Amino acid sequence: MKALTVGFESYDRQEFAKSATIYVLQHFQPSVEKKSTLEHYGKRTKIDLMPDEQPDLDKMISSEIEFVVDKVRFSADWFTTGAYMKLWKKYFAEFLDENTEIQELLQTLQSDPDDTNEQFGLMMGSLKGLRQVLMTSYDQWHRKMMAEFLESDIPLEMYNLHNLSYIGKASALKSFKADLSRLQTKLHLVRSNERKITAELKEFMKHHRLLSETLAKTSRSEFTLRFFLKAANAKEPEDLFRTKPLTLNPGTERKRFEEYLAEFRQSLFELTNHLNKRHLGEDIVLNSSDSESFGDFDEKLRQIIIRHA
Amino acid sequence: MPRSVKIAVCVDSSIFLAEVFGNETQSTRAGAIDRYQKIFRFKRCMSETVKDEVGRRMCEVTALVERISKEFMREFRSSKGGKSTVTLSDLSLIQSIFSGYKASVSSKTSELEAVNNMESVLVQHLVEKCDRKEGLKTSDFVLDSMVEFNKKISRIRYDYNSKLDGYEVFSVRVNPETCKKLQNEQALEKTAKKKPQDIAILCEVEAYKQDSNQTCLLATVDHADFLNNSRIIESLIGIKCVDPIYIPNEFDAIPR
Repeated sequence: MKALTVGFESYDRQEFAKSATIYVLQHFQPSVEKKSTLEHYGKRTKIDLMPDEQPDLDKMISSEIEFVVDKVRFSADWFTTGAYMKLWKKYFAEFLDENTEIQELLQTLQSDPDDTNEQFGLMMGSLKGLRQVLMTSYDQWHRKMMAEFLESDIPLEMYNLHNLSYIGKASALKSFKADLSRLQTKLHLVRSNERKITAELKEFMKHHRLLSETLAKTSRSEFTLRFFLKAANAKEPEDLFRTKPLTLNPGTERKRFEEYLAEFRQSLFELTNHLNKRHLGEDIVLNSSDSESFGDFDEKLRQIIIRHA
Repeated sequence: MPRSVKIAVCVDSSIFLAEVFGNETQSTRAGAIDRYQKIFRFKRCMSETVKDEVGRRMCEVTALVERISKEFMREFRSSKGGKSTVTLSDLSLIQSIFSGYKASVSSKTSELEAVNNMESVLVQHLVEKCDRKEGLKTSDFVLDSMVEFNKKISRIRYDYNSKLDGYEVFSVRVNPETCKKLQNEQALEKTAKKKPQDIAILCEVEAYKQDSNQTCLLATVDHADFLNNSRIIESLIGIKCVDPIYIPNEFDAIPR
């Protein structure tokens, strides 16, 4: 019997889309400045959405990997963070080759244009492109996860959570984009009134930071859980990027798995509750059934749960 | 209209179950709380025991689907051997696999219900897929079916989390004297024996009332254990058990 996971070896595109999203969000650090311009007498209020210093993707991923490796307390004679990072870069480059639109968007983001509207356009374009990657790769990703589930000894609950997290991420991207668009309109309306600009930015940043932080927290707890599982079943660095059957030793490993799963469950719960309900309500459609036969299966399950003693 | 009166409406498992998993008829009464909250602006809460009890039921049923689907997919694939495509003739294979499962589980159990429903959707899914495309691969049938199972359970979990978000979930230290009073009451003897978690819920609501210093009601649709014994419970621990549709009565009783 041919293994179901055969044919799904390539690394999850959603993992890279997730990293790219966090990288894009790091580019958004708006500030209000008074700048002298040649065409105006005196100083003019200017909004700069991008940070003074470019975020470093490699640095960001390295620190994330270091955090997770440290948390999981993983060590093996074949593993070094550096070697893992090297492979990560290799597969990330492949991801960008397959998604040239994202590659271009990330590159233009680094150009840090002066014009605020152009900056808005770049941010929104990147978020839209990343969301598109998530939307189009959902079916393939889900089949791959189910292949892994059927050959592994891991509870289905974890796969329910991964599925909801996937949809939550796509929805967060939609929310970020909608919020940016709303901010752009509001800033246009208040013109150059510095007090009002600052108030609009402050309000936006408060909401943006909260969502950005909960998204980062969920991504980190999900990455920790995945890394722990992959590492427990790996024999070489490449295994950390392969879809392979996953098993856990009873006792300590199982206990730690439960611990990481609980953290992921909780952070996902927080993310879901921070997301825009309307956007999430629309995006949960991604989870709707492709088969007529399964149409009312969840209703039947709900009735079983009610009667279940 | 009385507003912002310090009342907390706590719910028991029967209400939260109906709210998350109930069909239209079952959730009507639970839905009343939502509507009344907009008028009376009370706090909605539940104890950890209620959250855990409903979560436990969901997880147990999920585990049933998990086990049955995994066993079925393994058996189906292994019986197919080298044959890589699925045809209508495989319906008899599904029938034979499920006959085995049905023979091994007791009647009138959640497990049997799950087995029957899963058999039904898998059979229909196979027919639907065979009708749509020629040469349906075994691996496609298996993975697509599993994706559907995961989607359905994910949706249930999503609804559970969404509904939970509307409540304050509290964790309190219960007063052992309160528990004793309820356990020693003859009218509640059966409940204490068969459903000790219901006694725990009452004790938790009573402790929450003491801690938060506000009037607490227990909204429930459980007649046998709570509503029929409402007067006794109130006289023992000062917690009134109410049918959700009659919550406004309690606001009317409070002086404005």
